[in-house]
Amino acid sequence: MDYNICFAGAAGDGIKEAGVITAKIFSKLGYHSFIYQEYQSLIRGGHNASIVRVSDKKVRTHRYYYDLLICLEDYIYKIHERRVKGEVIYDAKFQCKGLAVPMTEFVREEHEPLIFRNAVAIGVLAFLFGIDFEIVKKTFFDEYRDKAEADIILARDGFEYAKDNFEKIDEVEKIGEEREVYSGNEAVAIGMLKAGLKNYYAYPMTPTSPILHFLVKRDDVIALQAESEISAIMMAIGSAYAGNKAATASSGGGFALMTESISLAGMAEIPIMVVLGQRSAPSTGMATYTAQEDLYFALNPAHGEFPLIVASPFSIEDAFLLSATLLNLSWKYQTPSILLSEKHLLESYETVEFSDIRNEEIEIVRESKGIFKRYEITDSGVSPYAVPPAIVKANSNEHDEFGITTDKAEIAEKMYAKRMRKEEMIEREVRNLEPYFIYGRGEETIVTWGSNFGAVAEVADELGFKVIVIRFLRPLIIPNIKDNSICVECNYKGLLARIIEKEKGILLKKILRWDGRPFTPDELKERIKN
Amino acid sequence: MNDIRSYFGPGHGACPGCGFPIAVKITLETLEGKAFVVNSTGCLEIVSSMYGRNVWAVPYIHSLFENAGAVAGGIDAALKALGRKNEGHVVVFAGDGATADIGIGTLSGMFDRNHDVLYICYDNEAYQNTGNQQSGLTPPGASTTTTPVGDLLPGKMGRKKDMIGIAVAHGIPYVASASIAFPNDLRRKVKRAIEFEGAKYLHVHAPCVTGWGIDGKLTVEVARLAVETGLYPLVEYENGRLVRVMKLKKRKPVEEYLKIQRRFRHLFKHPLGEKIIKELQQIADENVKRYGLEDEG
Repeated sequence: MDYNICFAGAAGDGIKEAGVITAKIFSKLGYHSFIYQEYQSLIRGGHNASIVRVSDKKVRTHRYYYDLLICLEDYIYKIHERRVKGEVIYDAKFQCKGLAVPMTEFVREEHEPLIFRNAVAIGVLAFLFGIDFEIVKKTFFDEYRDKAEADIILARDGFEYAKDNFEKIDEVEKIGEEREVYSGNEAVAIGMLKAGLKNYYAYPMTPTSPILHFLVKRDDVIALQAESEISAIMMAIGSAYAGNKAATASSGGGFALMTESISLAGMAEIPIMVVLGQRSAPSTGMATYTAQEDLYFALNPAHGEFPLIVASPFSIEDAFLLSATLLNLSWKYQTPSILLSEKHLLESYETVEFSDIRNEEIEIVRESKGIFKRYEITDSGVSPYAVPPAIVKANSNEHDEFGITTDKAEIAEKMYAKRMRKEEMIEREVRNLEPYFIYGRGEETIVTWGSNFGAVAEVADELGFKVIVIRFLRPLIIPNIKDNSICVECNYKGLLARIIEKEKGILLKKILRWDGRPFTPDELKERIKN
Repeated sequence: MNDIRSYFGPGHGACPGCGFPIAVKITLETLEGKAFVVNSTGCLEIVSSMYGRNVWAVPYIHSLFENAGAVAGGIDAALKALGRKNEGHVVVFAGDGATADIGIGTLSGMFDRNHDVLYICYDNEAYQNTGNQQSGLTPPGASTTTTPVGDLLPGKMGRKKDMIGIAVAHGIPYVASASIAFPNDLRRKVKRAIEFEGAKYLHVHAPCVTGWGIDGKLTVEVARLAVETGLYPLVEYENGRLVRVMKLKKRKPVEEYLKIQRRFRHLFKHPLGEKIIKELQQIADENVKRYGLEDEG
């Protein structure tokens, strides 16, 4: 069983929510799901789509062609027409090919706003797939609690209408225990909490704002909205200086404002984690579309040399794991880390099982007699971490072991080298943390990073490729890759491919796109074959 | 430019009942389209410079989020240097987040250098285009995505920043507040503002239908109640002196303003709601005293 279902409509039609509810209905029956959310930066009108893939096998990507399209606006049908390879359900208020459902009429009868048409559509969909209405009811209730009533009434209207007028497409049965559906942003937030996040600060920016929305509702973390990205990261630095695990997130534009502070964290050896959710650039680009254009920016975000850890998750489960890992590593090595992801991973949803990872607490000194030797020169480069009320001098200037500003050549030489020695330790540790992940078998190899893995893995399964997905980007540990292998990325120049080519002295075939859309297996297969 | 019937639109993508298009249209009409517009990231930018369409019939630059004050200052300096001051007014339209939060540094610099710029903040009291997150101008008690109502907190805590006070403290020649509910007053203030050489600040209250949870038909009514309760006083400063205020003949209790907005609805049930309502009433009372909004006796 494998269906690719698309909800399409205008902003304000509840398209995104319809996708999530549908995935959760199937997940209650034990199925796997993946949701791709495409929307425009608009207040109303325009075009939103939520593509839900459900299957009895693990799915990590949506497909290009739809088995079912649920279309809520007439002008939107044209955008999707060429992708429809199955049935169309549409609102009878307009003319279209397929199954007309009087969605607007049902909603008007209940005196509800038009956004509730999505509930009618979900009712119809449930009937078509032979899903028991109780499951629909329970899903709405679990999602909206005491506010679910109108959705349930309208979904039932849709369900009954479909029963009287349409034939079923399938009889979907329960195949296992309920699975959990999370977005990439939620996975990042939960991962950071697992590793002991105590303070989180951010300024609104697509695609990472949902991390803040998620964390402000929890009582086990202090999450605040700052007045700018500079403030957000500096508040995180303040919290880390005071002894709490802290993080922030943004996209390219906001991350650009954070860069001076990242250099400070490197110099003052203050552990912070930054989530960089890439979207189409330069500048505002296409603000709600995905990209992998900031790789070099993330690898070299700020002035000066200092140890920095950069990693990019290849799935929503991996986003959970890597965000926890990076927060732990930042503290262990007292240096900034960047979780480099992209809109396609962060705002997509998937049925997931989170692995186990713990909060690796480091020893923190909280009192001192006189000034604490916070930057003690050690073999490893890591000095004891102390926080107030211990007398700790944190300094953006070059400093001695006590954090006192210096311009002495011999002290600067030693202190700079002490910080840089941490890089060697980080590299040794990252080698054991699965710096890259190998999937499948095949004579030929596809290399990739980030969320492309979903589409790449599926194509590799079908065509018999081995997949190497790079997780840690700094330190970068690359396995042996054969000359003329394929590299798949969402940018113009093949940013990762160029690094690999230089490091390994090989040439790669680059399959690239920079139109803001993620790869689907269907499109990728075409590109590989040609 | 004479054959252009509207300087803003038609075809903007704001919600039906959105407040700020009223302010933009009145301003551009009053200036007869003689405006170089600088627009920060925000709702207005999203709905007027969208995919495939830009509805401004005047020169327009989107200046990112935090930079409108600086960009406007640069345009003013160039026009001065080129001797082309007569070609138009440099006008900024920026939201409350761009003005009071991330852009306050460049705004302060522009004020401090006293550039010949009319800076208009359209205040819809949250980041509405990124999903209704609170700003420094969100009033206490409002529920937003980043100040959600829970068992402990009844929405936003802390006060709405006093942007009028901040602008006046910079010693710029003209500072005023206006509301989309009083278009004639707004028109007069735009006219008055451009009579002054130097930096002018106009703060315009403009309800957001979706973020505030109001009926699109009630936008003007809601904006009017903000003024009539004393929560949003209409005041005018020239060269640092308070010269005019809109007097309130029969002031209404703040509840009348709060109860018709979804963002405040919880205040009438939450254990801390009553305290917040009292706090808001106190803010209104203070405004009345501070600006002399009621005739004595």
